Amino acid sequence: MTTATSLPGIVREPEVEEVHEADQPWVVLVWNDPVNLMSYVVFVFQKLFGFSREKATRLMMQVHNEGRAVVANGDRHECEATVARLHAYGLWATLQHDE
Amino acid sequence: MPAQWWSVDASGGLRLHLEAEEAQTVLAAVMDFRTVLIEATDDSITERLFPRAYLDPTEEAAETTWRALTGPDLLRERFDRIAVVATGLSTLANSPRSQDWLSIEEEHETFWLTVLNDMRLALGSAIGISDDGAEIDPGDPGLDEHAASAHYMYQALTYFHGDLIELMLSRIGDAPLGDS
Repeated sequence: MTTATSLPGIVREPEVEEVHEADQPWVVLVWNDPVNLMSYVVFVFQKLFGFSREKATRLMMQVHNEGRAVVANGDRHECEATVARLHAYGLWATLQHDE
Repeated sequence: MPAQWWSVDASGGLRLHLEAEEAQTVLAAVMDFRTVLIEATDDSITERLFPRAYLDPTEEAAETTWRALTGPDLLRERFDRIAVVATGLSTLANSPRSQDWLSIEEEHETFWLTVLNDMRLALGSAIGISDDGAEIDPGDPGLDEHAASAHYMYQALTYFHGDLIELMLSRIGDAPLGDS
């Protein structure tokens, strides 16, 4: 890490505060669940996101084997709306900053 | 119950096949689920049907705002879907023996799919379905009558729901969809 140099008597605000939170990318995660049927998760991914069967199945298997998968991204409000739609289908979904 | 509960008619519409007594059994389960939603006394069910959007504890304010904005709509949506499904099942439960099927309007197909899934989520939470892969035999003599009944219903709903999903997957096809 480097340290910003400052003129004597002049205090610079850290650059991180100049980045607006709304600009940060967010992702939607779907988590593994012992009840939802694998076929149901595939159907929801196809229906909500328009994915092909192959892509929906691949993501479902990632959820199943790895415990979670990123299924969408966007700004905070977009991801909140997507999470709400997934919850309406009974999928366990959350949003977080993209890591 | 017939080997196939769901079918597609000549015009592509979804049909549900249940005899009156079977429809009455499923209807009773749907109404039980409705009561569970109203009473909201089982935290595990509430947490599963209305999960958090944020896991990060530093986003608690956003979680509170999001929940206030979406929670009432999600609950109302669930009750609306239950009402449609209950009406359909009631029709079948009171129909003459010669009419053991129900045509489901296209706009209501997702209602059936999600209500059955919600019922499995609620039952699965209540009876402790877990990821350890161990399946509980509903006929296990170690289960009391209430637990055995819940396990039987969970198993039946799994087959009933699975049959519908397979049909809807066959209709949606393999290719990417247009507007979702």
